[in-house]
Amino acid sequence: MRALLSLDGISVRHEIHDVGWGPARPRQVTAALHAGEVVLLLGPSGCGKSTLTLTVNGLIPQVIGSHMDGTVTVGGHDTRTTPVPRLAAEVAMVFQDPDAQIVTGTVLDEVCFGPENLLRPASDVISMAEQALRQVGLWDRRHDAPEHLSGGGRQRLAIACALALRTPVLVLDEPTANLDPAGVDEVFRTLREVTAGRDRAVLLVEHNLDAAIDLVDRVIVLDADGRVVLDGPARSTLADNADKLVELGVWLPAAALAALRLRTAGIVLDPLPLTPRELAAALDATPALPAPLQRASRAPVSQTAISVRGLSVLRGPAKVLDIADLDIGAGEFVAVVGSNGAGKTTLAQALAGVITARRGAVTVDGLDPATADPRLLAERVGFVFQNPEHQFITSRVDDELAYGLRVRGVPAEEIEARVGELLDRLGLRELSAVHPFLLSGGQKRRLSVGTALVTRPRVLVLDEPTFGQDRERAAELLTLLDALHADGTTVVVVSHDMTLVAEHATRVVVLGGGRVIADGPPEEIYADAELLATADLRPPPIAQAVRALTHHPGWHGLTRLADLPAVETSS
Amino acid sequence: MKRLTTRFLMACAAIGAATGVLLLPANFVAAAISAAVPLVYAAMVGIWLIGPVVALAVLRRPGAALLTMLIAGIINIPTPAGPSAIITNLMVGVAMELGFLLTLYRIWKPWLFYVTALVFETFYAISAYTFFNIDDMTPAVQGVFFVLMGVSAIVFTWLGLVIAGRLEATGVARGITPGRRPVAPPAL
Amino acid sequence: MSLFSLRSYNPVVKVLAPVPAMVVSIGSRDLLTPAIFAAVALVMLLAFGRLSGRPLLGVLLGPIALVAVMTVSFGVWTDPAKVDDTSALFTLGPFTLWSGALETGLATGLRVTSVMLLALLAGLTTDGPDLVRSMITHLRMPYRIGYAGFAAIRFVPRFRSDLEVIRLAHRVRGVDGGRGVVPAGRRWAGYAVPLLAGAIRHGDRVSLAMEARGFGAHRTRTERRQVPLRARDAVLAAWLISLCYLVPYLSGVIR
Repeated sequence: MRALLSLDGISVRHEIHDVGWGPARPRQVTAALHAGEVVLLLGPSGCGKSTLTLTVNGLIPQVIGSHMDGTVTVGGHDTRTTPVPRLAAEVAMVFQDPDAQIVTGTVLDEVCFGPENLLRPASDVISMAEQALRQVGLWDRRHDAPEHLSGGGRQRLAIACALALRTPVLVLDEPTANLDPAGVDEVFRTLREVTAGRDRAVLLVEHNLDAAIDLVDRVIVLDADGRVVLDGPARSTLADNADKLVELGVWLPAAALAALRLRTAGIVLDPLPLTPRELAAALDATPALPAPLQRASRAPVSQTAISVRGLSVLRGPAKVLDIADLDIGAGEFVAVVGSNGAGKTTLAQALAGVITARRGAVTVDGLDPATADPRLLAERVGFVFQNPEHQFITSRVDDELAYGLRVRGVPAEEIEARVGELLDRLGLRELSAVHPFLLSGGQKRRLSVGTALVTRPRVLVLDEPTFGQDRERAAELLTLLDALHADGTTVVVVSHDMTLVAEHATRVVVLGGGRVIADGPPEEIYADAELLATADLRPPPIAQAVRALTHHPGWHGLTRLADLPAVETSS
Repeated sequence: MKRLTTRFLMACAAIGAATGVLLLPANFVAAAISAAVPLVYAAMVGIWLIGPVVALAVLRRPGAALLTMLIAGIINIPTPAGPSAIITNLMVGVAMELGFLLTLYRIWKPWLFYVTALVFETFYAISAYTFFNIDDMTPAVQGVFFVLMGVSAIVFTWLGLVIAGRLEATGVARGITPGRRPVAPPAL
Repeated sequence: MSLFSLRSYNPVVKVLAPVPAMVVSIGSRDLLTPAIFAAVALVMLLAFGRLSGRPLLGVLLGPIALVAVMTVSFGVWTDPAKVDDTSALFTLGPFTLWSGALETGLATGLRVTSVMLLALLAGLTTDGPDLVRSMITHLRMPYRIGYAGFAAIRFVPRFRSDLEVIRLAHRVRGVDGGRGVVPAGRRWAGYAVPLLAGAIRHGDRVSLAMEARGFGAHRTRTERRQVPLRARDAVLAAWLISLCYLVPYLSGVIR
C-alpha cells in the first residue's frame, strides 16, 4: 500500500538568536503513515514532536525559519517545494490553542474558510461544511459566533474545519492541552467518531495518554535527542516497553504507572493495564491485595491563614462569587476546582488582592487584601497569574526577581542574597541575564513563581499553574510547590488538573455557580459521584479504577499513586 | 514590495489591534477634546503615530505602517465613524511609509522616523488649518498650535521607538522578518 | 432590498462618493455652504437610513450639540483683531466676546458637522464585512489583507481582556509610580510591551493556522456572499458629486 505520508530522514534545527543553530530536534526521523492508521507520537518534552508535525504541511521549513534535512512527501507532493496553502488539500492540521485558529465571525463561515481558500465552488463549500459540522455535532450552532462556544466546542470547531478540507492526512498537535476536563472528554469523543471510519491517516501528539490510548493503533516514540526509538502497535509497544519509556521521560497512562508501582510491592499485573478499566479488571483478578498505605496524618491546623466571611463579587448585575464562610489554615495545600465560570479565578484573585471590588470580609495573614498597600501585601501573599508573561516587567531574569524587593526599598546586599538564593532554587542561575520572554515555557512559569516568592509571603495563590504545559513541566512545578508546602507555606491552587489535585492537595474546595458546593480532603470529594457530576469534575484515572473494584472494597478510597502499596525508595 | 507573507500580514494585524486597544481611552478623550479645546487636541495628534512607528521599527519591512493602519481601520469599521476613518488611517499609514520609501527602505535609523513624523504632522497641521479655521485665531494661538503638533509628533514617535526597542528584546518578532539569519548550519 | 434604503447601496460607493463633498465643505468659509451640506446629509440619513433607537437619537441631537459646543469653543479662540468691527456681546476682564467671533465658531462647527454627517451616510448604513468584501471586489484590494482584517477583529476582545489582566498583574507586583501624566504614561508603556508581545505571538499562531487551511493558495478565493455594484450606485455617486457644484451655487443664490 502506498503511504499517504512519508517522512524520510527528517532533522530540524532551529536558529538560536545570536548563537547559531540549535541541536537537531527531531533527528533523522523516518516513518510512513498509511490510510486507516491513527498514530500517536510520544516523547519527552523538547524532543521535537510539535516541530515534526509542522514539517508535515511544509510550515517547516517554508514559513518558520529553520533548517530541515530530509524529505517529507504527502500525497505525492514534496513539502519543501509545494506552497503551504496548496498542501492544505492534502494535510489538515489542528493546533493546541483553539482561539488561535479562529478567523471569521460565525461557526459556519469558519468551516467554509478552508474550502473557499481552495476555490471549491460555493455549493460544494456548503455541503462540505455541513457534513463536517454534523460530524462534530455543531451543525445546530452554525450561526453562533465561535467565541460563544465552550473551549471544547471551539476545539471541535477546529476539528470540523480540518475535516471540511477532506484531506487524506489529519495532524493534531496537543489538541486538548488547553482544555478543561469536560472539554477533553468532548474532544476525545469527537475524535473517536472521526477516526472510527479509519479512512485517513491521523498523526496525533497528545500527552493525555489516559484519554488517547484506546483511540490509537500505533505509537512512534522519540527519545530526548529526537530519534525514533520505538515504532509499533500501540498497546504492545507501551506495555512491553514500560520501563524503557519511563526512563526516556515519556509519561505512561496512569493505570500503567500504577501497575509499575505495584510491581515493586510484588503485585505483578500481566499484561500491563493501560486504562482504568483494565487496571480494575487486573486488580479484581488478583486474589489478595495488601492494604493501601496510610497517609501521614497531618498535624492539625493551628493557625488560620485565610479567612473569608460573606464574600461576594459582582460582574455587572450578576453575582460571580458568593462565599459565606471559608477558612484556610496555615500550611494547608488547597485546590480550588469547579467547572468553567464557577468563580475559581475570581476567588483566587480576591484572596490575593488582585481584584479589590468586592463585598464582605477577607483576611489573609492578618491583612485585608483589598485595602492593604500592594507592597505590604506582597510580603503576606503572592499571586501567580495563569500567563507568566503578563506579570513580567523588566528585561532580565535577575531584575525580574529583584523588582519586588527594589520597590520595597530592601537594601542592595539583601536583594542580591535573596535573588541569588532563588535563582539556584528555581534552576535559573545560568539564565540570570536573559530576557524573561526568551525563556522556555517551564522556565517562565518557575520565574513567575519566583517573583511571587521573593518577598517571602506565607501564602501563595496560583491560577491554573499547569495550564497548557505538558506533564513533565507540570511535575517540575509541583515538586517546587510541594517543597514550599513542606516548608510551611500555605498554597492555594486553582486547577482543572485532577491528577494534580489528587496527588498534591490536602484539601479540595469545589465551587459551583460562585458558591462553595463541597469542601474536604480529595479522597472524600472523589468518592461523591453525585457531586462530581454536578461540578463537572472527572476523578483521576486511579480513582476511577479503584472505585470499579468489586473484590477489594478496602481500596475504594484510593485517589493517588502515592497511596498504592509499594516498596518506598528513598527519593 | 516583496511577497506579502501571511505571517507578516498577521503581525501587522496584531500590532494594529493591540495599539488600537491600548489607545482606546485616548480615542474618547481626543474626540471630546477636539471639539471643546482644539489647542489641547493638537498635543494629542501624535498618538496616531504609535501604531505605524512600532510596526515599522519592529518589522522593518516595506508596507508595515500602511498595512497596520489599514487593518486597524478595518477593525474599526463597525463603529459609525469607522468606514470613513479607513481613509484617514490610510493617509497616516502612507505618510509614515514615505520617508522610508524615499530612502528605498535601506535606512531604519531613529532620525528618519522623527523626520517622517514631523513632515507628516506639518501637512496634517496645514489641513487642520482650514478645517478648524485656525487662520482666524490670534497669531500667538496659531504658533502654539503648530509647536504643540510638532512636539506631539516627536514625543509619540519617541514613545513608539522605545516600545519597539523593548519589544524587539522579547524576541517575538524574530523569524517574521526573514533575511537576517546565518546562512546554513554546520552538518549534523 | 428597497431602492429607498441606503443599506442597499454599495459600501465602497457610500464611503468614497461623499469625499469630494467633504473637501468642498471644508474649503468653504461661509455659513450657508456647510449648513446645506449638513442638511442634505441629515435628510438623506433620516429619509433613507432606516435608523432607529440610539443611532437615530444621535443623528438628531449630536449635530446640534456639536455645533453649539464648537461655536463657543472656537469663537473664544478667534483673533479679536479680525472681528472687533462686529458687536461686542459681553466683556469679562480683558476678554471681549464679539458676535463676529461666534460667527466664525459657528462656521467651523457647521463644517465639522457636515463632514461628520457625510461620513455617517456610510457609517450608519453599512455592514462592516460587506465593506471589506466590496473593497476586495471593487477596489482590487488583495483578499489576504481583507481577511487579515477580519481575523484582527477577533483579536480585539482577547487583547482587551489581556490588557486588563496585565494591568492587575503589574499592580500586584507593586508597579505604581504615583499620580500624574508622566507616571501614568510610564505605567502604560509597561503594559504595552507584554500586550504587544503576546499579540504578535498570537497573530503568528493564527497565521500558521490560516496557511494550514489553504489561505493564500490561489490568487482569488470563493466568496459565498457577493456585494453588488449596480446602476443605483452610479446614481448615488452622481448625486453626491453633483452636490459639489449644486451646494455652493445654491448658497450663492440665497446670499
